[in-house]
Amino acid sequence: MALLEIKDLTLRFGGLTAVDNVSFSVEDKSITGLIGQNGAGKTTVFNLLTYVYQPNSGQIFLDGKEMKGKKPHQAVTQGLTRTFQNIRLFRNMPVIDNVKVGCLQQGKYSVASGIFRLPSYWKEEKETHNKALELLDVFDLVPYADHYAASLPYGQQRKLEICRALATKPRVLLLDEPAAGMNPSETEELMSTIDRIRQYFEIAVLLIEHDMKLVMGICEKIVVLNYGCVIAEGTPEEIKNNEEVINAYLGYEV
Amino acid sequence: MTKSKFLSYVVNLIAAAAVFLAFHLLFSGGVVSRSYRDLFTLGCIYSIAAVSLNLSTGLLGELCLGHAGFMSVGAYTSALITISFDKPGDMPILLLSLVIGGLLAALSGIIVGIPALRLRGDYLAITTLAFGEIVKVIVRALKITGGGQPMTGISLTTNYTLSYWILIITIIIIYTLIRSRHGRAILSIREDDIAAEASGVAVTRYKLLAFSLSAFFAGVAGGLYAHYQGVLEPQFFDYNQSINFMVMVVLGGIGSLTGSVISAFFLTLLPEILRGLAVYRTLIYSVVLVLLMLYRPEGLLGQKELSQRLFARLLGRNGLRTSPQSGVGGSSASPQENIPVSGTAERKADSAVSDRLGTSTGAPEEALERKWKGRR
Amino acid sequence: MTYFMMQFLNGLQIGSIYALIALGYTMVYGIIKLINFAHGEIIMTAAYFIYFFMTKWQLSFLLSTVLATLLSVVIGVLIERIAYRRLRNASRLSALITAIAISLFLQTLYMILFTPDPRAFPMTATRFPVLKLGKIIFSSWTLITIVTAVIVMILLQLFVSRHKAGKAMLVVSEDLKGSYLMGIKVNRIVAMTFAIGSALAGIAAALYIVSYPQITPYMGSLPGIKAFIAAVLGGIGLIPGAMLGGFLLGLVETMTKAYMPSQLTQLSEGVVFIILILVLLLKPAGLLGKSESEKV
Repeated sequence: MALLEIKDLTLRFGGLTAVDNVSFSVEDKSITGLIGQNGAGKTTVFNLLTYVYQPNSGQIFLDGKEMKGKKPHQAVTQGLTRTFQNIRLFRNMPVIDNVKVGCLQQGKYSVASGIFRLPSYWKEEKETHNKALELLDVFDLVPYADHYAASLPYGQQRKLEICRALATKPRVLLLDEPAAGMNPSETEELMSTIDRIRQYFEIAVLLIEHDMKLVMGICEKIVVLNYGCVIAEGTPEEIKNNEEVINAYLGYEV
Repeated sequence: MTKSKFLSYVVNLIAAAAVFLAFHLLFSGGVVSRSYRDLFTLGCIYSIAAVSLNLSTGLLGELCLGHAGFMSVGAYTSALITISFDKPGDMPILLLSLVIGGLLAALSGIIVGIPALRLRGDYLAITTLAFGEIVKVIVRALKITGGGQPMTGISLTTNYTLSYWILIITIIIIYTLIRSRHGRAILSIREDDIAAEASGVAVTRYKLLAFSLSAFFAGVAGGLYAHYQGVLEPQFFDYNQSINFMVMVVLGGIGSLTGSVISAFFLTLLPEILRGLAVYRTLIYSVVLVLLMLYRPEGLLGQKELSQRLFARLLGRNGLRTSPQSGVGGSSASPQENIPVSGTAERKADSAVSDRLGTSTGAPEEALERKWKGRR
Repeated sequence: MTYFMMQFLNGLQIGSIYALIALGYTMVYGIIKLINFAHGEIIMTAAYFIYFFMTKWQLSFLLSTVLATLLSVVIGVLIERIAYRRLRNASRLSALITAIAISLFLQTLYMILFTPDPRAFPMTATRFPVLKLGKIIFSSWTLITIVTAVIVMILLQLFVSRHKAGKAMLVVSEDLKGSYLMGIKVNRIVAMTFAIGSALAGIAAALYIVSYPQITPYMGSLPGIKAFIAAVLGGIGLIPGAMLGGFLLGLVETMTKAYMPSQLTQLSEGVVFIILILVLLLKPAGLLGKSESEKV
């Protein structure tokens, strides 16, 4: 059975159906791409998965269990964490603290133990610190651990955002256009990073991307959205040759 | 707790005690007049209010315009309790009344906060402003609080010792809170609430935590004020008083607790120094505020704290180098202190980090590290 | 029923004043997302101007109002130019604190210049002839207030929907940065918004002081806060919302005062704030607003 299963998801804004009966699934430890034109409803699907919007109908299952929630932080608890199209970091906090905020939900000590610095505080803070450093190391960000997040160059900021999302220990990582604004070599690097994330963290990745080289290169499965509907679902090979997708999105190669 | 960490606590406590002793000698030796002793007490009370306002405005990033309202709740509650016990000057009863006054203020903070803090934007500013007005109306309407007349008969139990140590406790609690996982959550909300929510921070809950704690200490400050002044008038806790506290926070540095204390004392003493200019005080405040916002919006201290570390930096890292918090050169021995409120983040800490990496535990992750490095 | 109708007219009267003030808040908020705390003080300054024109220069009420409105426009635009414009890219907190500081500055300045003692306005609503409609008795001033406010609002609505500059104002409130790129002179439009808001405040001041003929340096803050709540009630940033919110708030306030048991009248001031809390709980975007979460 698939890890993440989306069934007949529909969301209407007034008269506009932004997401129309969308169904697809994400296998465990796989990389799935969600593609389609701007405005096709890709980010809206992410917003539905993370409870930014409530669907008009349809269900989401994670590991066979139906996901229900009202606030985005509940999606994190249940195992879905996302990044943003336009990077959102805690800019005036050090890089390492950005990651530590991601660790918040695994924290156990109470407000009082934090204020009075009881033994549980010391023990857990040390663990959190080491864990954050390990995560930063995965992205070569350790040298910047104490810098303000705002001071990082663009590419590093993208990595930090992914790093923070991974700190929440998601089952499925949702990446919203991770390669946006990157040059080809940065994109290349990102591709290998995403691949490694999947391998070592043993999680599934669902990503929205316009860069076809990246999508075709690393995704095992691709879902194509057009005007809120799924028009195709399959391996990169199948998608490349799908007549409807070519008409709607990819276009013919000249 | 590491040894160096412990040492740093001791150093800080000794410093606090030394400051107290210095003032104590001044006051008991009769070097300065009684009125300055009273001003010191008032400075401590205002500092508690300013520091707690800094928690909601500077650290959480929500503008609160009714801080004096919370102070008022604490003041009247506490005064009513000590009056009902009818044992003037009894310290334990005063302490009890301060706590209850604080709790009631926190409760009112939660009631005001729930509708406003769920929302994004400036709604808290307007609701707290409204709250301050409502408190005034209620206090004037109730017989028990004087019914429009000043409330009298409150014992003058507050002294400078009590106020000073409550101020120290307030600073410690807010400081340690901010450097815990909950504090990081609060700061992350100030930075970007959408990203915080998406990273698993229950934004409304943490906003309420910070805001109610802020109201609690305002209530305590109010209780202290009631037993300092002996008389309570509803208009003392009006909008302008809330703005006074806001000026203290902004002047000292939005996010700097020690900055708030310094500016609170400064602004308490200033009217005494400039007695003749009393009328112009508010005028000067407002001009200073506008100029600050235009030219130095972070306030005098910015987010920095007046601490050993800052002194160490000023002294060119001499002398205090052995002290654990003087990690100016990048040897931030304690991970918990790496928060920009303390102004340490700008520096590079490559060596320190690699040191810490050496201490990392968990064999699988280490293997993972090696693999990663091997791949590059 | 007669009593109710009289109170209803009173509610409309104060409501139309709230609506005029609320328009100033809502237009400024719509365009630069700032609660202009100094707006209430514009009303206060306008009231003082009218007072002095009438008592010192012996000008007529109408002429004084026109002159005071013009001066309000100047003050409103100056405030924007000196303080707010430079803070347009600063944090919201800085902008809010500046707005509060300016409100404080004007209050204190007027207190120093003219003492905190209230001044009695030389003309009161009782001077206006009493009208009778069946059993309903009311001052013609009530009618003048409502009609003036409605005319002003219709003119504003026409300006916004027909005139090029008015449309540009709506565009800037949709997307300030995008408007720059579209060649709209944003600074000019923002200044114009402050000018219109201040002019409405000037007119509101004239309508207000005839009914409540006491002029003090602090007179602007309470109607200011209430009008802001009216703007939130109707949907902050929306011009029709401010009008609706203003009238509703005036009606609710008057009715509670009229029908509240006498021992509780002291608490009636709190009703407005309870409305605010309820709106935030039940319909935070306001009656006419659509709730929009930030796009991510």
